[in-house]
Amino acid sequence: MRVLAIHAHPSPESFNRLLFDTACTALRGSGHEVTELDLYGEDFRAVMSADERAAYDTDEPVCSPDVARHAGLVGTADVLLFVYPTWWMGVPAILKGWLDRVLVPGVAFHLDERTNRVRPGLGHVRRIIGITTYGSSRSYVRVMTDGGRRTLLRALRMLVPWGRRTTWLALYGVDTSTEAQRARFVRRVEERVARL
Amino acid sequence: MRALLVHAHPRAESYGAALRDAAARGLAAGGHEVDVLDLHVDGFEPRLSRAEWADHRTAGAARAADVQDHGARLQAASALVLVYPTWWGGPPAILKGWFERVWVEGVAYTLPPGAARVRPLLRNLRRLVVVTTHGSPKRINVVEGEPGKHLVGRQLRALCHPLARTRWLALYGMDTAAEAERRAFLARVERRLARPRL
Repeated sequence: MRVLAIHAHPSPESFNRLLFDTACTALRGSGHEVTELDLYGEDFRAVMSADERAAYDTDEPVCSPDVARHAGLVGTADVLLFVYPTWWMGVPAILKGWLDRVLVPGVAFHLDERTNRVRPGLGHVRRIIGITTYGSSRSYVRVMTDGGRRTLLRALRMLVPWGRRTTWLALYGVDTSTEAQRARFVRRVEERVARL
Repeated sequence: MRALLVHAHPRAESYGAALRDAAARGLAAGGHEVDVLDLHVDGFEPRLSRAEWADHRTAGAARAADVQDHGARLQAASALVLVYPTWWGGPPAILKGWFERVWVEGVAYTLPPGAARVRPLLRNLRRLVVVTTHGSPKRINVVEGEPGKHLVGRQLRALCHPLARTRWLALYGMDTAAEAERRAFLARVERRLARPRL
């Protein structure tokens, strides 16, 4: 399958980067075709500009070269893989900006001209995978609600056909985790994505 | 009250900007002091930098001048009014990044060595008001689980005064809303923010 792997961590030496590399290597090892999008690495702009917001309501919502390239990759992906640290119970701003700017009408969904309702546009996506780390414990994340997970597995999932599967791999309490716990999680990520 | 009004819409002539102006008018009419922070006008950079990330536990040598300034304004306010369009269930990236870069250790909370939980520092904030628009109808947002609402009502709220109250003013179904509905919502926002205790 063709996998679009999206990474959103500022440091190339982070544990999060290790998770991203592990997942990509394991996917390639299983014969999948992986395209890596390192948002910090390519200095992806997070802020939707006034021109882009104006274009959003027109027939040509994509008006920036970086967005056009990413939208093209989304259009041919069978799997969307997101690897990010959970901050404020959500995706980092750079990834939020990617959703805001790239997943526009015509790319991720269509706006019905008559009713102005949203129609799903990601019929080709067979699976959404999220891999993330939390500073907080699992119980605290539950109390606060996991906004990042809801964004990807509910809001984004509404745009893929009914019944397509999702995978969520999470390490809680990463700031206080031991070396062994982190190593175990890396192995879990490796094994899980290898049998996609 | 002394209100910090944070606005996050890219277009100067948008309905979002009209909401910002309605909120500011209401606050002024109610005798509140208003400090307007327009993130797009200021060219705010929402991406947490590598240096900031590396520095996030050492209370801030890497903090930029605008981030420090915003932090000081946040600490001087008794009410926070957020005006933004809801995209993908939550605030636009520019506002999400504002929380990530400005609401940091030493400004919004402390985490003393050995403590299991963060301790709130923004006890000056007694009101959190959100003015937002959702393109989709309420039922879609309920299925999505309203991440933006929980971010403000639970997480930001936990770092404010223990008795702080949250007010949620939302226009759902913006994409199909009639002109009259939009005007009515502007009037409602202005009226609500003119109240003495917001």
